[in-house]
Amino acid sequence: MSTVMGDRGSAEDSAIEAYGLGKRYRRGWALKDCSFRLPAGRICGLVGPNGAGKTTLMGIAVNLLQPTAGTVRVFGEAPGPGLGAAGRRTAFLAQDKPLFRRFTVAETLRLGRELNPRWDQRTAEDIVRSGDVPLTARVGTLSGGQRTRVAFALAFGRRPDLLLLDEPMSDLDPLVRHELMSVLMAEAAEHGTTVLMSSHMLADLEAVCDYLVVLASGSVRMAGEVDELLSAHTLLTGARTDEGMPADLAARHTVVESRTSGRQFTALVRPDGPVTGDLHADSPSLEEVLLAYLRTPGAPPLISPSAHAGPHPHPHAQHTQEAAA
Amino acid sequence: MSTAATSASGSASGSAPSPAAASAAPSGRRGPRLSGLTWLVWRQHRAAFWTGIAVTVVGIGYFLQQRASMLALLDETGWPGPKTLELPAGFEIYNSRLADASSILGALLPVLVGVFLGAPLIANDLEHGTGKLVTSQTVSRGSWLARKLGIAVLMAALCTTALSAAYGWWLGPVGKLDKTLYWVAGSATGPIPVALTLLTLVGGVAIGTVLRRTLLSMVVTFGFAVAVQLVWSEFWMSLGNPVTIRTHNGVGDGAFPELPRAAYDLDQSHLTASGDLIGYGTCAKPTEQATQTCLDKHDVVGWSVDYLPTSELPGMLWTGAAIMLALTAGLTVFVLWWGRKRLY
Amino acid sequence: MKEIEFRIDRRSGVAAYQQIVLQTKQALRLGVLLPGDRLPTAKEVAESSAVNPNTTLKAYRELEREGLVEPRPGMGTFVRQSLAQPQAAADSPLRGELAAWMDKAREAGLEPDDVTALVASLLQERYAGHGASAARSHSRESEERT
Repeated sequence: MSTVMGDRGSAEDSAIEAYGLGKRYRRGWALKDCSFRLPAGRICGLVGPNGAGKTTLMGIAVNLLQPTAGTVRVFGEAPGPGLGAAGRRTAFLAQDKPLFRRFTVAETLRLGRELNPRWDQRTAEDIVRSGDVPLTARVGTLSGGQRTRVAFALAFGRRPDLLLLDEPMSDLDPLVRHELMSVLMAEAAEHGTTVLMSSHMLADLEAVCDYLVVLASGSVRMAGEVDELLSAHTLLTGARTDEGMPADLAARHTVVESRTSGRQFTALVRPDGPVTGDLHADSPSLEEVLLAYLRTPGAPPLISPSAHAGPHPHPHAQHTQEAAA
Repeated sequence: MSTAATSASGSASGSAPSPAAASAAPSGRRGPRLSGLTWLVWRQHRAAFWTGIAVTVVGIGYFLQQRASMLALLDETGWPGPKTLELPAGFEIYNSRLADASSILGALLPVLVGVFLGAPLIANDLEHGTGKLVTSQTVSRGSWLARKLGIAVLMAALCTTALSAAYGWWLGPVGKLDKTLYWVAGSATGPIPVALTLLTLVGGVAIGTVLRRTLLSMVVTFGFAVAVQLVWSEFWMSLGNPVTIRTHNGVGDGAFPELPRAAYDLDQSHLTASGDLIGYGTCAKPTEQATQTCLDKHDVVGWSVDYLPTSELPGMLWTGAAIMLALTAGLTVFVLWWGRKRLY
Repeated sequence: MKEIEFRIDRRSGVAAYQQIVLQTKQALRLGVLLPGDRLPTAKEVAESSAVNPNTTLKAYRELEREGLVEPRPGMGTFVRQSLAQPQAAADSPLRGELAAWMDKAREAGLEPDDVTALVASLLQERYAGHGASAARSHSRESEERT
């Protein structure tokens, strides 16, 4: 048994690059001017409140949706219609985890085998078997956790380089959630899969993600390596002044959010240099950082260097036409 | 053989065929081994397809059996007689069975196929997300739609063609003898059941693709199928080229022109000396005296009758079928275009 | 045959990779892990504790930087040196002295928390230089990452 270390993708490889991505529905923009980069080999959480545009972003990345504006590249290519190189390397698990209810588990895996030139029956069967899911059982008779396991098997059987999971654990109890997260992490470890999974609950993802993209109201509020995002912030506590927070603090650092209570103020800042003054500095938890950004829509977004999409590729005339039509 | 083939394809990724792969494969399957999208479409709709095949087999069996017993009756009664082609007593039962079969074939079958195969074909996948499941494998939306539609159309075409041919064979020996048999029963022969079924089927698929809800699509497709039937029954007679026959020997008893056997009379009028036509009801007066006065007043000289000779029927059926198949093709293009653009 | 299984406590507030580093060092100190032992692969850790493989690999890289383990391509990550101190063994004089001191503390009426606080404060006082060097290496690492 070997640890596949070298296969986890070099820092130069991008699994996803989005440039000014936008999607407008009849009721308004679901996604607006969305730019970020996901390096290959990461386990990335896509976090944001309900309706933030997470599903729309994933839909565009797997070519189920056409963007109204901007472009997206998956491993450097436009997401093709299932048959393109990007489509072949990508697997997607929609939130409702659709499967044919009348098919048996074996038939469901056969579906994967019949419809994918690159199919790993052993991996798929191992995932199903390790959960004691009988191959002869009909999908409609399985429990929610077992169904999710079969959906995972179908996704990993394709040997994807990028796996997108939309709210994969939302309807599962904690035990099954932990069990399936173990399956997910083990398979990602074995095959070096880049994983992007969404949730509106940070707690679902905090433990397993090393990368984070935070969406709110259709735009990116934060993106980058979890450690980078954390170390870029400091939680300051001190005595309040008349205006609440000392004025020079806001002048010298980027204040994400500040709150006053009684004689005290608390501020989450991105320090630009050493913090001076009679203040208590603390490292915030990921949840504190996330909540501060979600509560303060005006706060400047934080995109860490590794999450910056490179120079915009040549804008495709094709997309401009589609946007006009 | 099928088990071995399965484990071989299961190990396509290069791993050794595991015993699991072999045990997972369905064993002892009937028929040729399907693969790829064809397998999927067949597996997903196999209940509908097997029902269609069973109905076809039973239907053909019934038609052949009826033909045999009908011919036995005709033989028994010495038909055709030396001087007459009149159908013998006891034939009425076959008359009504032929008529029933023609309405099943030309009306009921297309409606059922449209409602139960066409409407859910795509709508069910869109409603339950399984369309997304399939097209997020290494399969394009266009080829998935085309394969689904293609297999459904092929199955429907094969079954209805076989049924129509068997029915035509049953009707054959007696079909040309009687006006009602020839035109009413005959209107559901040849390409017509096939074309009606395909039009309703693809119409149902189109409705389902747009509405994306199975039950709603089935209801709307039922309405569409009934509308197709109504329009066709109203319209099909006007596809023929009527022949007009005119007489100049009055309109009294026995003066009505003799039409060719089994010809379909469309319209009959009185012909006046000036060449005008008046409705033959115009001079239907209570007394013979009054009638004669009326006829004299209008200077009626004979009959003018429009009819369709039997030779017209095949042309009418093929023209009608061609129109319906053209509509079907249009709907097919619509489904593929809409699905490619707006499936999600 | 796994020599060690990591227990990752999600609620502890300590980053998962640090927990792996600490637990590995603890095992090295106690002699649970000996030179030549193989650490569990990222997949094994993921299977047992749903830990992101990148987290495990990051912890192993840190242990490798400290010279405690070495990756052998295609085989896994192996222990290079033990941290077990002969002076800390069960029968060592140092341990005996500490035991005697703790008995005295108990007689004096100190609660376990008081003892912990006392030990911690003396640790900070006497080992101040060590703590600073650890912090330095930590900050260097975060520079590398950015």
